[in-house]
Amino acid sequence: MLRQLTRSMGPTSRLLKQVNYGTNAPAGTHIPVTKALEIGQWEEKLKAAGVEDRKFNVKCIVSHVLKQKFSSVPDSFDQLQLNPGQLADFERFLEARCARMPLQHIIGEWDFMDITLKTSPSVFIPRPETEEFMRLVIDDHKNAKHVDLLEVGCGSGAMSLSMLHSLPQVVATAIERSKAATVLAAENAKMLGLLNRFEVHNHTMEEDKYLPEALKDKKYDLIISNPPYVKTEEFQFLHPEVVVYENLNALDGGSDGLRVARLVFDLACRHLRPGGKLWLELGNDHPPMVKTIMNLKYEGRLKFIAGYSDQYQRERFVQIEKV
Amino acid sequence: MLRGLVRFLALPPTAVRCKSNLDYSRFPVLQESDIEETFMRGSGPGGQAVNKTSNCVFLRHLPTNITVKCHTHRLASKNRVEARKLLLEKLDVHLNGEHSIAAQVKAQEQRKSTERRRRQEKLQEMKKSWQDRERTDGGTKSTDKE
Ligand SMILES: C[S@@+](CC[C@H](N)C(=O)[O-])C[C@H]1O[C@@H](n2cnc3c(N)ncnc32)[C@H](O)[C@@H]1O
Repeated sequence: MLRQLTRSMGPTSRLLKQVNYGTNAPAGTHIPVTKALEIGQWEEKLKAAGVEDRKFNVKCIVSHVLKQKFSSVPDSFDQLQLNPGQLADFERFLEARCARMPLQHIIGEWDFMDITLKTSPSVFIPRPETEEFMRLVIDDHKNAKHVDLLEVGCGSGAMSLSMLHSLPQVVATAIERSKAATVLAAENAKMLGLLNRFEVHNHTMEEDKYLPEALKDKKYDLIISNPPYVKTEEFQFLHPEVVVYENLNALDGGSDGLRVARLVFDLACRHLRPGGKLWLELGNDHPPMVKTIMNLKYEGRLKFIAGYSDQYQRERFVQIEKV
Repeated sequence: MLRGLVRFLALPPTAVRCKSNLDYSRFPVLQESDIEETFMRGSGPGGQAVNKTSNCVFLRHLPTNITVKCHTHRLASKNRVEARKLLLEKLDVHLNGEHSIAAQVKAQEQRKSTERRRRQEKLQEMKKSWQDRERTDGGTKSTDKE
């Protein structure tokens, strides 16, 4: 995608090459970031493309291009200079952002709680609500002696790896249907030095094939999942960053948004130890629905403990216990 | 959930406190219920459906109307913690004036630099008197030789 954009990117960079910056600056010299923004009319272009938080977007890209930590880049770019190579990158990335490529894909990495993860095209980008979810889960297990954790659909690995990073007594196994995500999660685990406590299997959970053959008799103390939960009717609200750049298998929860969650309930019945916990991140109206489902269908097997709100005060998380 | 964090934030780690010999006895505690927090999510379903990266956090301390804004980090979650630290520092200055940690640190810095200057001056003086002595001694010696 980026390569295509580079090729199709034209007028501004040509324009830039012809302009002589400063009165007698030789070709190939540095130019101030502020000037590059002005000449490329990037503020206007980003706005026309419907990108919000433009200052923040530009600062992320500046920090990436200059290879400086985001928190060390000043809010005013007056003193920052780009060399010709950096300028070309800068424009390529801004162009990509105008095409609504997610910032996290442009930068190639993003933070999640206290860790930084690599991102990869088509792999689900961890959301801020999931940090709040993991804070609750980690808090609930911080005093446990040992935790065998299973994650269903680990994507980039954000949830499992942040838990492993904060709690040394956790050992994690993950399953993931997407090959790209499976590879990325393993890469992230390696980068964070957590590979000795993390394994990921490329497997699609299905009825009666919940776990891969190698794990079919395994039991866990904790199962976590952020299963696809977007309802079919909500697909009209998806942002371009999501529709165009993320795999719909990571989002599509069927008509009521609980299609995959229901499979996780059944998996939990088989693979949780008694007293073990199932924590799920779900959509807005889901916790009361889950409570009803537990009472009607899983009595004597799973017990609804509580629903919790995310940081935006939307009740979206549930805790369930294996009886 | 951040409440736990805030309690922890109210006082810096003991190690820091001991080393710095600052007086934290007046340092305020932040009540999460006194804070009005604003950070953006926008309308719509949220969660998986959107990919928003807004990082900016605003806090207002209701009893004093002190406000802070923080967008230092890429993540809103980090800025929420950082903003609380900033608010505590401001609150401390507001409530404790010259006894606030910021004022104490400033006073300590000043003491240190005065002390440093004094020592430097003393050294300079010693050097000067030594040089003077040398010169007179040398002078005497050369006179001796003559
Ligand atoms: C919403 S994403 C969550 C990713 C990650 N846990 C996170 O929070 O960033 C859902 C993930 O589940 C995976 N997934 C969806 N259905 C699955 C299934 N039946 N079996 C295994 N993985 C599945 C998707 O490929 C996707 O990576």
